[in-house]
Amino acid sequence: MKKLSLLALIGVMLFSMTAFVNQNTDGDRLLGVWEPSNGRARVKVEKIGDKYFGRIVWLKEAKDPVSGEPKTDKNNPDESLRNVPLKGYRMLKDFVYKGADVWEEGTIYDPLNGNTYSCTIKMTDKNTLDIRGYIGVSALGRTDIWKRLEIKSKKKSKK
Amino acid sequence: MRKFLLWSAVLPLLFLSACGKGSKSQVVSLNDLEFNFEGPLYEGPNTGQYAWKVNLKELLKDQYSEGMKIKSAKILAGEVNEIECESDTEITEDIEDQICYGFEQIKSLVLSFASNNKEIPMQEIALLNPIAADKKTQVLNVSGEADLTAFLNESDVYIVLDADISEDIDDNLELKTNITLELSFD
Repeated sequence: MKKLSLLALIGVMLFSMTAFVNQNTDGDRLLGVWEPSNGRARVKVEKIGDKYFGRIVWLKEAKDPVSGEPKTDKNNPDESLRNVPLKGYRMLKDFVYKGADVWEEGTIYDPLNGNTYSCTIKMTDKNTLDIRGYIGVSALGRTDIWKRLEIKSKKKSKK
Repeated sequence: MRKFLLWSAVLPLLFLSACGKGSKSQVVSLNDLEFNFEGPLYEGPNTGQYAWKVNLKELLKDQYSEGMKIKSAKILAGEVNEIECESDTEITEDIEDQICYGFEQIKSLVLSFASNNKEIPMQEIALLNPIAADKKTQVLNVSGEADLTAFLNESDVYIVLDADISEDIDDNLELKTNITLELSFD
């Protein structure tokens, strides 16, 4: 009887550990490069600590049409950061995986107006995301559909 | 009425001065934080991370007291250095072994703080765009508005260095960073 209890206890512990590990790694499905529906940017999602962040890695119009210089975050509310290059800007921040293919508690930044919105991400299939930005409550927001990009590795050479 | 107006102006000032009494500040430095950008690296923005275990006792030394909380924290300075290339001093047959990557391949640098705490959003704290490629040390422009107080009251902080790389690099890229912070506490 004692042996049976011990086995049951070990079983429960193993199940809990597996569930914990899965919870942590399932969120990594978000990692990769994604393209918003307008096709004007590509965003690479990466993990820092336990949270997920997305950086702009490609812009259709990378240069300012007036100055000809690479675009910077000229609408940033913090004046001292307006020279941050837009290519490389982290527009998705602080997402936490909640399970069931949902990432929440993050924000999305719109470089066109310098506004930051609350945001949730729902993976509808492994190559599609519903990105919902909102102010206050989720009902008052807008959803955009992002598609995963498969990036082929290329041979790099030293200088 | 005049008295009332006078007191309504004086009282908040008295309150503020009472609150400020006894508050101390100290400038602390985080030196030689190593950022390893694991290659191969693609042209464009790449991220390096440094997991910082916040240890107020070590930072504040004599000023530290058990259970203390940081009241305010801001960045005063930040710089990024190339890591010296060891093979510079050796002559090897394979010329490729002597190549080290440094600032010549980097266009801009952005430094940020991040935390696992859901209540603490990532914060950009310093940047340099463009960098001075001919210099071994890049002095970053720090944000005057970045408030790092919440990070300093955490046990773990991720310091993130984003480097915009101008061309593909086959190898790892290593950079060292020094950060100077001003901390206020009771």
